[in-house]
Amino acid sequence: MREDKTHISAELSRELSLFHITMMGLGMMIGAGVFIGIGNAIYFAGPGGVLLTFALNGVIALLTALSYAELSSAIPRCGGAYNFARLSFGRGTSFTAGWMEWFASSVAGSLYAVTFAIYTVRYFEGLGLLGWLPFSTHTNERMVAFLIASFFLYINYRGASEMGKVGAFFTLGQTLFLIFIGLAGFVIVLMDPSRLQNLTPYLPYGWSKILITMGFTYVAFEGYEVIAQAGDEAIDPKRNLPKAMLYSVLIVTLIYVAVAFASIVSVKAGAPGVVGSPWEWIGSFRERGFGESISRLMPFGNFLLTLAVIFASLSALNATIYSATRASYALGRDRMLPRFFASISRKRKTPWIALIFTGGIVISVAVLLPTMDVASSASIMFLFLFFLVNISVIKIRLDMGDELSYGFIMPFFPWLPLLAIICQGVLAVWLVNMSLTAWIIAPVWIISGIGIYYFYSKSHTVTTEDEVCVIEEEEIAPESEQYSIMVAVANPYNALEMIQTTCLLSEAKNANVKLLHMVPVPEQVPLADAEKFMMEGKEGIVEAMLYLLKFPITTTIRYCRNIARGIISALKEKKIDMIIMGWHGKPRSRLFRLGSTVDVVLERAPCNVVILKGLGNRTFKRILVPLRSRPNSALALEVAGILAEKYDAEIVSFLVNEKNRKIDSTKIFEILSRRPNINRTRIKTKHVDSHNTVEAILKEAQSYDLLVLGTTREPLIRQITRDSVSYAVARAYRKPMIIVKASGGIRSWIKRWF
Amino acid sequence: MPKNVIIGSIVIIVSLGFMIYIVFWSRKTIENIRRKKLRSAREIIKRMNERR
Repeated sequence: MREDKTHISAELSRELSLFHITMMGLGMMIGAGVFIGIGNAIYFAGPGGVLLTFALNGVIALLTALSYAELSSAIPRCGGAYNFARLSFGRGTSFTAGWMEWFASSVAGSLYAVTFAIYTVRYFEGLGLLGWLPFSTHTNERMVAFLIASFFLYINYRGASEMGKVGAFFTLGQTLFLIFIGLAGFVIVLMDPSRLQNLTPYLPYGWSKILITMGFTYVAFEGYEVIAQAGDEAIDPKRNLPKAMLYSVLIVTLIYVAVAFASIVSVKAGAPGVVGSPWEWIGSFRERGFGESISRLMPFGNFLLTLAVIFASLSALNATIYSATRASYALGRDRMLPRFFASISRKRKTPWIALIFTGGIVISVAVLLPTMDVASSASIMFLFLFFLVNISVIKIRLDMGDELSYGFIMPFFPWLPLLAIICQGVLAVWLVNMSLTAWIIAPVWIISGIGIYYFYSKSHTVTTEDEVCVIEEEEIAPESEQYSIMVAVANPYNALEMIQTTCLLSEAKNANVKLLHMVPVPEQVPLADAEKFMMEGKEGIVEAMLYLLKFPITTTIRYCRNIARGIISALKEKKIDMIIMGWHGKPRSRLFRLGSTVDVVLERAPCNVVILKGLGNRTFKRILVPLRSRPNSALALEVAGILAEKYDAEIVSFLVNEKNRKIDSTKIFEILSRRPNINRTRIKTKHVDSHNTVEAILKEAQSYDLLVLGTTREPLIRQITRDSVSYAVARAYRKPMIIVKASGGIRSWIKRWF
Repeated sequence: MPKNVIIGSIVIIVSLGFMIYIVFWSRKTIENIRRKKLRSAREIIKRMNERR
C-alpha cells in the first residue's frame, strides 16, 4: 500500500477586504483624542490653532504611516513595531518596542475610558439625573471610567476579539456622523457668513502654542498601526495593508479638520449663554468643549454626539485592551517577560495574566491621572514608538531591501522618515510644557524596561531563526588593536585568486586576517541543515589558511539567508578595517551594477573595501589609477603603491578633464599622496581632455597590466540604481582590476549603526 | 485680512494638499508594483528611475 504523505497546514481565512481593514484603522483612530482634544486645543491655541493642529498632526502621522505601510507590505505576516524592531535591531530593541507598545496601548485605553466617562456623565448631568449622587463631577467621571474599563477587561477575558467585519459597520456609522458634523459646519457658514468671525483672532497666543496642542492631540492619530496586525486575515495584504493605512490617516485628518471647523463656527457670538467670544466660551469647557459646541450646531446634537462618542470610545477601548494585552503576551511568549505572561486560560483561551497586568495599568492611569496627563502620556509613548518604527524602516530597507518582496515603497526615502523622526522629537520635547507628569512617566517606564531587559530578558529570551549564526569559528590569534582585514572566501578557486594580494596588503598594514565564509541557506531549508552547504567554502578557507599562516588569523563560517547581509553583519561585529573580496566580472542580474553581493558591500560596508577581479598570481609592471573622488582615489593609490613595491611597477595616475578646464594635477596629487604606503617616486601623472570619461579611461587602460579604480562617492543612506563612471568602466574592462572604496569619518560611523 | 489668517490658511491647504498627493501617488505606486510583479526595493526604484 502506498503511503500518502499529505501535509496539512492551517491558517486563518482571509476575509477582510480593503474596506474592512480601513475601517479597523479608522475605528481605532476616532476613539477619544478628537473629542477631548478639540476643546483643549481651542483653549490653548485659539480657533486657527486647532485647525492647524489637526492639519499638521495629520502630515506627521502620514509620514509614519508611510513607514508602517512600507514595512507591512514587505513583512505582512509579522506586523507591529515589536517585529519590525526585532528584524532591524535585534532583541533588545524589539523588547523596548514591545514594552512601549504595551504601555502606549494601555494608556490609550485609559484615555478612551475617561472620554466615555466624561461625555456620559456630562450628558446625564445635563438631564439632571445625577444630582442624587454625593460626589463631584470629577469623581463621578473616574468611577465611570473604572467601571467601563473593568467591564471591557472582563469582555476581553471572555474572549471577545477585535471588531472584524461587524465592527466595520459601526465604525462606518460613527465616521459618517462626524462627516455630517463637518458638512453641517460648512452649511452653517454658507447660510451665515458672519460665523467666520469666530476664527478671529486666528492665533491669539501665537504659533508656539500649536506645538503643545499638536503634542497632546497626537494620540488622536494613533490607531492605523493595528492594521499591520491584520496581515493574516486581510485579502491581498501586500496591496491592501499599505493602502488601508494611508487612506485611514488621510480620511481621519480631513474629518478632524472639518469637525474642528464646525466646532468653531457652531456657536454664534452673543447667543444666549455664550460668555465672551465663541472660541473662548468653547475653550472654557476644556474636554467637554466639543460637546458643548456641537449641541448648538444641530437639533439633538447633544444626544447624537454623546451616542457617537460612546460608540467610538467603547470600540477603541475594546480594541486597545486587546492590543495592549497581545503586546505583553508576545513578550511573555518570547520569554522576554516571565513565562506567566503567556499563560492562556484553559476555559476562555485568553491570556488572562497579561490581561490582569494590562488592566492594572489602564485602571490606575484612568483613575489617578488628570485627563490631560493621560492624553499626554499616551501621546508621548506613541511618539517614541513611532520614532523607533521610522528608524526601523530605514534599517530594514538598507539591510534587507534586496531580499524582501515589497508591495509599496515610500517616496523621498530616507528623508520622509528622518523628517518624521525630527517632528516627533520636537513634539515629544514640547509636551513637557503641557504635562511634566507625562515626561516623568514615559522615561521611567522606558528605563525600567531597559533594566528588565538587561537583568532578566536577555538571559531568558528564545532565539529566532532570522539571525546570522556562526557554525564554526576558530581563532588562532586573540583579538587585538591591530589593523583587521577580512577576506570573504566563496570557494577554493576564489580563495587562491585573492591570496597574493591579501598577503601584500596584510604585510603592508601589519594586519591580522579574518577569513570569512558565508553559507547561503535557501528560504525553504531550515537553518539547522546549513552544514550540508558549507563544504566548498570550508575547503576554500583551508586553502587560504595555508598561505596566510604567517599572519594572526581567524576563520569563521557562518550561515545566513543573504550573503551580503551576513558579510556586513560580520564587518560590524568584528570591527573590521578592510574587507577583501573577489568579483567574477559581470553582474548576473540587470538590477545590480557589479553583482548582488559586491554592490551591497560597496554601499553598506563601514570599512575600506577592496574588490579583486582576475588578479590570480600575475605580476604587474604598469598600474593605472584613474583619479576621481578624493578619499577613494587616495585608497586606490595606496593599494597600487603596495603592489608596485612588490612588483617594482610603475604607477600612472590618470585624470580626465571633461569640462576643458585646466586641472591642477599637482595639487590633487599632493593631497592624495599624503596617505601611507605611497611612494611618490613611482607615480607619474597623465591627463587628457575628453567628453567621455569612461571611454577615455578604457582606452588608456588597454596598455596597462592592472587597473586600480576608486568608486564614485555615493549618497549615504540609499540604494543606488543609477550607474556611474567607475562602475561603467569596471563592467567594460576585461583585464585584471581592483575596485576600492574608502571608509572614514562620519559616513562610516553612521554605516556602523545602520 | 490678518496675516496669521492668510499664512494659517495656506499652511492648512498645503498640508492637506500634500497628504492627498502622497496618498494618490502611493496608490499608483502600489498598483504599478503589483502589475509589473516587482519585488525588491532595488528593482522597484530602478523601474521608477527608468520611467522618469
